[in-house]
Amino acid sequence: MERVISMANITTDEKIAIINRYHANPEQALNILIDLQFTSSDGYIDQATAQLVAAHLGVTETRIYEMVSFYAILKEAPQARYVMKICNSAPCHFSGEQIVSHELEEILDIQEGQMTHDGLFMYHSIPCVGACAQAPFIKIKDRVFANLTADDVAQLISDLRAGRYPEL
Amino acid sequence: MITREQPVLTARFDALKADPTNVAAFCELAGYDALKKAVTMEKTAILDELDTALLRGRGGAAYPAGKKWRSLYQSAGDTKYIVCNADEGEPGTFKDKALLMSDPLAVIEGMTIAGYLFGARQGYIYMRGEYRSLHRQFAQALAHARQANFLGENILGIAGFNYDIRIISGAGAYVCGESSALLNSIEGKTGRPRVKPPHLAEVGLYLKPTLVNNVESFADISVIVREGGAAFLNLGTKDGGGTKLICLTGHVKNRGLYEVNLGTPLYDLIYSDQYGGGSSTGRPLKFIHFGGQSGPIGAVAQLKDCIYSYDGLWDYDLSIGSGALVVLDDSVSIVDYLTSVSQFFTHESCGKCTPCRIGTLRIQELLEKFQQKIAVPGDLEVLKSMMTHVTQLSACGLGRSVTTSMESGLKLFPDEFAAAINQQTAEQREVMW
Amino acid sequence: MTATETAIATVTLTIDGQSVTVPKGTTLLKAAAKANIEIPTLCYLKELAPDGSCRMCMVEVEGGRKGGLVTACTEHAKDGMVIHTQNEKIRNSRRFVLDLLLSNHKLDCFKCPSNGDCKLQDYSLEYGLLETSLHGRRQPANQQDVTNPFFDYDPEKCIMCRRCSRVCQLRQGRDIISISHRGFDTKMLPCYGEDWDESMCESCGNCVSVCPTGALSSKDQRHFRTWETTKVRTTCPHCGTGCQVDLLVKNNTIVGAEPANGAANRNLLCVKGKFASYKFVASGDRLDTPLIKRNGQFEKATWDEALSLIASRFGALKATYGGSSLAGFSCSRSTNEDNYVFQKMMRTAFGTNHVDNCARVCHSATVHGLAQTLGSGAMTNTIADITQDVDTILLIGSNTTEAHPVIGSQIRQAVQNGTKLVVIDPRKIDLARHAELHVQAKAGTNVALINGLMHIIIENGWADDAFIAKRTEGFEEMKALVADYTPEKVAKICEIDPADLIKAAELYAKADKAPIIYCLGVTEHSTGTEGVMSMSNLAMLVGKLGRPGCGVNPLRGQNNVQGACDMGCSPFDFPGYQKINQPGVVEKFERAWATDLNPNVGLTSTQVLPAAIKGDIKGLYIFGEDPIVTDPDISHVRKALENLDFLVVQELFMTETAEYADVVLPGISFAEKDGTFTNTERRIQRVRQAVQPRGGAREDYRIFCEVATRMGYPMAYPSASQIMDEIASVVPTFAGVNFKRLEAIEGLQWPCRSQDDPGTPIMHVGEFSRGKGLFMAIPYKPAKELPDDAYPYLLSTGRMLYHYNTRAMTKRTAGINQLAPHSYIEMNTQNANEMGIKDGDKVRVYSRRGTIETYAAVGDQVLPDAVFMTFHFPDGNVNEITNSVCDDIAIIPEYKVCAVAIEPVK
Ligand SMILES: Cc1cc2nc3c(=O)[nH]c(=O)nc-3n(C[C@H](O)[C@H](O)[C@H](O)COP(=O)(O)O)c2cc1C
Ligand code: SF4
Ligand code: FES
Repeated sequence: MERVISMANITTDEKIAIINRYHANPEQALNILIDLQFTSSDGYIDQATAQLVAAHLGVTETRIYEMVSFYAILKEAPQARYVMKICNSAPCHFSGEQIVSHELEEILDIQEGQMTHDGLFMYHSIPCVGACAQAPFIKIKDRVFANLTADDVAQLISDLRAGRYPEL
Repeated sequence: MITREQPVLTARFDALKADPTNVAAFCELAGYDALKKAVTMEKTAILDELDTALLRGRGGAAYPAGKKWRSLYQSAGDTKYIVCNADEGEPGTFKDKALLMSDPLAVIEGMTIAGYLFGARQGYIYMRGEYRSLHRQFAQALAHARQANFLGENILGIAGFNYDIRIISGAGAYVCGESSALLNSIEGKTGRPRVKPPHLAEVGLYLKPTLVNNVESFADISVIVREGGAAFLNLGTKDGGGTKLICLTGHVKNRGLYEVNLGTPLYDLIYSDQYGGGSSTGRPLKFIHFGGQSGPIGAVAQLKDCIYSYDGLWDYDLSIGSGALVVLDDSVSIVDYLTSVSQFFTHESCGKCTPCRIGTLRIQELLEKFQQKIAVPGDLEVLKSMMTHVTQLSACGLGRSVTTSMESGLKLFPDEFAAAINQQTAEQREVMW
Repeated sequence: MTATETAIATVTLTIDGQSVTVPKGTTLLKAAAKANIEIPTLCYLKELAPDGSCRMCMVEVEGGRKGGLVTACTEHAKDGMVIHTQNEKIRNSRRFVLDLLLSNHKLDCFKCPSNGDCKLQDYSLEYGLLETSLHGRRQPANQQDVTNPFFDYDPEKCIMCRRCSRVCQLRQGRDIISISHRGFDTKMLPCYGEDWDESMCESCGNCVSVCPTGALSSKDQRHFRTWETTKVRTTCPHCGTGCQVDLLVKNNTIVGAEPANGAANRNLLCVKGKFASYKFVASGDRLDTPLIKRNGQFEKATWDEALSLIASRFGALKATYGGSSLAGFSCSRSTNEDNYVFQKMMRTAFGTNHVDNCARVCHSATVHGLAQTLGSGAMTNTIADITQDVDTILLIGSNTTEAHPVIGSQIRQAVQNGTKLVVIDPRKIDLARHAELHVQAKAGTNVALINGLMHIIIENGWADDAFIAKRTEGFEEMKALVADYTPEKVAKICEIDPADLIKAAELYAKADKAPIIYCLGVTEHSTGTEGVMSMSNLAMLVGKLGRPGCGVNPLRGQNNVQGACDMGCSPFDFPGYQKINQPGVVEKFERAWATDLNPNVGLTSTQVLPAAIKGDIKGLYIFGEDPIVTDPDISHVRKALENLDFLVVQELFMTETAEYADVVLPGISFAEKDGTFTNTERRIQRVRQAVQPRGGAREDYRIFCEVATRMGYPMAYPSASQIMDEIASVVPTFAGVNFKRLEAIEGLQWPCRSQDDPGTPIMHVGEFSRGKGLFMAIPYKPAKELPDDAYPYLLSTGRMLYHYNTRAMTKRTAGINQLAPHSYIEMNTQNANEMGIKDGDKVRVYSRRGTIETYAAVGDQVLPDAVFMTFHFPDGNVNEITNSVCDDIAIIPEYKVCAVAIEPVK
């Protein structure tokens, strides 16, 4: 299922308010983009938003796009309701990270970077997030679900489905 | 007085647990003593203390902070910037995170001392994007410091001592830990490294002389100023003073963060119950990857007498780097491990320079061939030659350290590579470069 | 480090056994070049800071750290260094780099448009790589973007040298193509991967020019291989910037254009120079034989027939009505040599001083205004001088990025490098986005505005009293007059915020280096000359004349309009601004030209046409002008041409004006002749023949010589070079100019008074051309026709990027027409909404003089109640409706202000 391609849930005024929170300072472009992305439930920066940011910061759209496409945290495409981050760097990779990715692939029937049909889930393999001592783990937003077993993963998914973590 | 037996960087962690941003509580535990002392000292005397302390940069390159500070002190210009590198991107490292989480004011104090010494008005802390929850807390610490007049205008009531710190968020790019890329990122640009020369102490942030130090280095600065250079040196060895925050991960029982004196025997860190506690899998430990993905690898069996200090590790062609120690057991093949390392670098290359952009992937592809045991005779020579070129030709520290672990891995476990070559294949590969 | 310090501190190093001494801070690449050692590079661009990304330029430093390899483009030479640039280790590392690049590069050289013109190909051959030894992941195939009308982009051939993006961002100042993603996936792309034609790209093609491979290639490149072409260095035929360009010629046809390192353009071109400067030359509809109108129909004629007819008809008119019944309009697009010979023909053989050129309708106000106040009516400083290292630029009435695009790019570069830009313009022009301050003053209020600025400067004590006392006169009168122009009063007249006026005054007056740059927004008014004098008033008031980074700098419109004026195609002046009514001048030229001359000042072109209607002018010789399209109030022009007894038009194409001629003569274009153009900064630069003219077209000055000879004044020149020699002999400011010296790419800037005079980059140093600079007290007068109830909108006209004047040249390049197909009228969203007009709707525009139809361009470029049109298009020709009232001094028409009404076309 295709979702609407836009950061529909925040209005232009809200976006401008975020930009102004940083005094439309071009130096704070990254902070602004991250804030915009996290405020939108779609979890990405679309072109219209990039243009808006560029115009307010007095830089070209190209500068903004270069950042959006460079920094791994910034996304160019809509994200799922729950984006699960799995670390695939060596310390985690050799501490059982595969248990998690394998389990997610099984339960959700999606590959890395894909979204489930209901738009609820997606997982990314990313480099170290500084939780190496808790591997295997899943990180959703700032929350780390640590030292997971396969059963823990299954439980987490059903909990998320059931809406047990509304803050995430 | 500090002694080798007591923690210094983690000393306040427990006491501040309730609110690590509480300035009063911080001050009660000797917080801001260093800053108060610094403003009474001759500026060059502070630099002398740094030299005596022999603080080596904790970001990974181990460059003596004393030298770096002195050259910035001597560079011309009224406007200088202080930058704290809190990008902490080396896999297996989470010690800066610990400091930021548990004692942020110690870092702020170190940065403020730098601000005082260099007459800087603005400091920046560039924080890894994944540490988002810490940004809020750090912002609060800054606000509290401001309220208590440890930041802002006329700090400590000293006319003209105006200094403040701004948080800039990273956004998931390991290369932004490289100082010049980091400055580009602070300026609101894409974080690709700059061409050098000029050096940052002359032409840094917004083209002004700039100091870049690691989080832990800044925390150490406060210790040095407060306790004196000699006391700090005494915490470590003659080749590098202080304690070091280390991160133990992989197949040890007690994974986690520790503060250790430089000069502690390596085996203590791996095997003693106070630290790693030995293998968590019951299998023998095989190798240790030091200092993050850009660091070298050591074979556990060969390190019985190794001392964890700068020179102690150099004796074994190893280095402390960020302080990460990834300890793995003998179930892990070195080829698999290095392939994983190469994947990290392929993912993180900024793509600016040819050898790193394309060469790193080509190395990864060749390692994958070894991993699948379909390498052919001659591939090993090709691999070694590629490694040499990528190291020599890459523009920044990222590309130049892609192969550090591979060099040592190839040297320590040559048989595993030899075994991956299918000797039946007639195909010979000629190295053309 | 100051310049002198650098000059003193040198280092000596050894490169491949040679000892080289260079200034401290020199890169190894430059040091090697000094020793004639070439080091291969892919990403290096000499105009920009090194990028150090391709890693091709590796050299070995003996005893250096970690293998000793460093990039020559970034590493600085140090004393005692020993460098090797060619040993096996280095060759191996270069082979590795090439192999990596080839491993992710489409290896289809045979089909590639850049075959034979590709650095990757050249180096691969040189280093013995016929194919790649690395077979792994490649970027996706078939990603070509062919949507730009002039060039194609194939990412599979991109080697990520980033030259295109750096040129686009840092030199062109546009920032369209750039790096996206990272690592192996890094790709050069317009934003969000949009197609070129959806991006903001303006097709300057500078990225194409710098691409070392076939990734960015011009569409025309499909039709030739570089090795089949020869390069001819010449000067671009479009605007007055005077860019140096290399034309690529294959089989007597120009197939492409490359920027050259001229003083004005430094390897940049705009879309017209790069893509539209050559197609028209070989256009199938070029005139190639003389035409004589018989019974209302043009018939082909021989040269002999045509020339005899011309000589006899003009001869008869002169015999009957006197020389003063004849007039000539010269071509400011043609060479100095053609212009010189044309006016000489008019003055000698025709016996008239009614000779003019199209400067009349653009910058005659500049020529008159500045001649009166400073003594010389030209740009005082150079383009480089006013765009590099200046603190503030005061830009007035110049839409530089469209009218003088390469200067516009340099202004954008200046802003990137920290210059503060103050734009005074009624429209939100592109540069307004880059400006520190945009004062959106109502059109036609310049004089009031400048008086206001001077008022503020004097009040605040920012004036340069020493300069005023020592170098000027007339200050007190001016001061007394501007005392009345308070910020509040001026703000009301100009419809601006008084605070902006004060800020503008401060930004300009308090800056150390601050040039004034202006253009037709100042001159094309009924008070144009006064507007120009206001410019010199303002600059003198703060002492910003006669020194670097300052001055009063009019941007001249046509490629050689400066030259046409210099050459004396003016009713008031002989060549070199030697005034007809100044004692001794007529005598001097009578001696030089060995004939009697008409001693009376002539009529301007804007006066000739009404005189033709009255019957005072009977015969007209138009060389390369198209007044039907370019002059205001066209119905008047038509009437004038119809009323003539005899009209000759010498042209490249059958223009609307040529349709009215009795005889049409085929001239030749810039690419078919030798000669010189003088650009807006007084720089005389060579024009070189690239191709032979086709058919019977003849070199223009030879035609004039034939006509003059047949009319009884024998004239002949063996070549353009000899004409310049004659010019040098009669024009003191050209005395040191000759073709030999002009071989140097930077040409010569007049005044150049002797063989060893290097030319004059900055005028009025120490003393003004007229001695003391003259302040003029100029009261503000409103424009002649202002909006009222019947005609409620204030119309201004101007230029756009893609077309050049009447489009005679540009419309013959298909891609240009694709980008800019028809006329349009800019209007404010508010007005459009009131009238129910949407962007792109057809509208009718009418004034007291006529009616046209065009398309609405709705937005915020113009303020409410103001509208704007370009003058390039015959469909919706704005000059049907513009006002032909003129400035009393320069007789320049008021193109910038008239009143119109608008209605939607149902
Ligand atoms: C690719 C790359 C990544 C780096 N990442 C970090 C990092 O995350 N944190 C850090 O402090 N230093 C990092 N560094 C080292 C910094 O460039 C720099 O040496 C350090 O911040 C200086 O501080 P110090 O002298 O206090 O160690 C990195 C270097 C490279 C080349
Ligand atoms: S070595 Fe890698 S990370 Fe560093 S500049 Fe080159 S491509 Fe970028
Ligand atoms: S290596 Fe996985 S979180 Fe650090």
